[in-house]
Amino acid sequence: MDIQSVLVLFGTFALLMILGVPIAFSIGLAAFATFLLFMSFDQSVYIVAQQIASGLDSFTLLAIPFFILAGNIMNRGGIAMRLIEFAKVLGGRLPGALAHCNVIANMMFGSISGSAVASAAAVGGVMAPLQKKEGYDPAYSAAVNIASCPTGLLIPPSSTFIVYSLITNGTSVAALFVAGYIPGILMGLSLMLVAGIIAKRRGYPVAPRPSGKEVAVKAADAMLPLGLIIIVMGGIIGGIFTATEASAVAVVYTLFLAVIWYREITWRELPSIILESAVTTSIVLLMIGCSIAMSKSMAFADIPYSISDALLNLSENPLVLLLIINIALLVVGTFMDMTPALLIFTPIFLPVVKDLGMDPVHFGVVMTFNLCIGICTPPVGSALFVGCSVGGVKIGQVIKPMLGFYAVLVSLLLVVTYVPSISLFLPRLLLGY
Amino acid sequence: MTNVTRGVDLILRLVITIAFAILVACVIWQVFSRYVLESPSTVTDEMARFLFIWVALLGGAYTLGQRRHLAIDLLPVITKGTTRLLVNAGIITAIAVFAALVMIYGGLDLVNRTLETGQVSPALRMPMGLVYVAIPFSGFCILYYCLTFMADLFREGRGPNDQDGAPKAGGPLD
Repeated sequence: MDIQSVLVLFGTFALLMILGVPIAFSIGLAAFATFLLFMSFDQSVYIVAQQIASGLDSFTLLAIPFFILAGNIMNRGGIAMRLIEFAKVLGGRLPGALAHCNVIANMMFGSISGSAVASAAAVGGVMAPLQKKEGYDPAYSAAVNIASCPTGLLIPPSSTFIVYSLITNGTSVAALFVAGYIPGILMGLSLMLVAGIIAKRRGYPVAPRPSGKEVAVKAADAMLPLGLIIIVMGGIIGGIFTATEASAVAVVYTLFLAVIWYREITWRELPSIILESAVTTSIVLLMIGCSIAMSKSMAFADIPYSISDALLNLSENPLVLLLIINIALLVVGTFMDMTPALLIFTPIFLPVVKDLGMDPVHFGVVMTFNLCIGICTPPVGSALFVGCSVGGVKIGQVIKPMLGFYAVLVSLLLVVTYVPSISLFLPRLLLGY
Repeated sequence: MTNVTRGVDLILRLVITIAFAILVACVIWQVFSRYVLESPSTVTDEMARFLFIWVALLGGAYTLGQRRHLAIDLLPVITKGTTRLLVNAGIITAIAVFAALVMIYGGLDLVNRTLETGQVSPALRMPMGLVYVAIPFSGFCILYYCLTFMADLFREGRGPNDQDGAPKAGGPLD
């Protein structure tokens, strides 16, 4: 095992990252340092630049700016309000009605906006005051919102899966999207179960039964925003669109909805929404370009092979190895944001799990699910931060009610890891994967 | 902030916004031509890919200027005085080294070598070397921002990760 290159790669990366160098540049410099072990200075800088260029020259990647733009347009409009009203109808008869409403709204809104943080802010911002008025403990409400906002990252469309597809050299985006449905919905349902049990014990109110007319009106209101999912996913599953084309259609649809139909965004506001989307996009893309270079340098130094060897020496048992990988990712997730964690650790762990006979689509779902837990945990958890801030509670207060949810999420993660058909059933059924 | 920085910001902002808008139009046209006109446009496919590279790289430079790249902002926050100054100077130097060596030196090498091969894109007949100019160009912008960051650091003690206003929580796709 080539210890030297492993040390140079991870040492440089860790040192720069801890110093506070932006992660994209830390990744790029670590790749450069690793290449220097094998080739001349001129060749090393050339190959890193070349990898960035070829990494970004991809039609699949184009889906990311478009889904981000569509999400940003949706976030500005009154979409959240319409989905929340519909969610109230769906979850109103359960104990702790508003908590269920929050989870369901997060599943719908998160799927449309493709962002857990945007969902936590939009849905939680509306739900927190309502729940407080009905006597819910604010820490409990915030915890429900935080734990359920990442469901939208698993329920498609989801840019996270596009990033995974790219870094794994073209795992089918359609299969990943469809594979996310059952785990994402199970995540929401299991959180509702725990939230309901707590609510029942505390005697939180049940909403009155809505009239048939009310249900119809609210469902009709929510249909237009939900139509986006139907068009995008219907098109992808039916083989009509590629993911990139679907993302462009999503932009047109959201523009029509927000600018022309609801009139919640004016044409004048569009340039600033576009610029904001470009900034978000470039944060992701610079990281992707540099990760492609890093992944090339890893392959050069046989690093995935060395790590795979070391892990397989630790244990031959696939159950144990998957447990080790999950624990490692959970630890990484506590202090690292989702995208960099995905970009750095996928090339390391994928060869190992492939050796174990695991399907790349299944592993993509497991990694995403795992890192979804990471954004809800301190010290670095974007969903945790935003959820606490819109819920008006301190991080310290929310940890105790979060513990039960963490337990459910981790248990479900293990189920999703060890039962491949939860992820693979739908892609096999619908896409013949 | 100097007038030069304001100018660089403004130009980048304009180019990025316009390029992004054209990019959206290209892909929408691509879909439209494929399904409605039943003859997929190869020109817009290439234009979209090239614009995308430019948006990503110039956007990367602009985002750095806004101090909004994702970083673990721990050491610059917990350290004080000279140590903090050194940490921040180290961060800026690391970024500048990457921009100068990889993006400018390596990027120009990439541009020259690609131009020498005479490789052109199939539909637009565009020399691929010119597409890759985005890398050194972005490198120069990043280097410029690094210089202004150094100046800000020593003049007012502002670190390269200290954004205007409240920082946004979390990664871009969280």
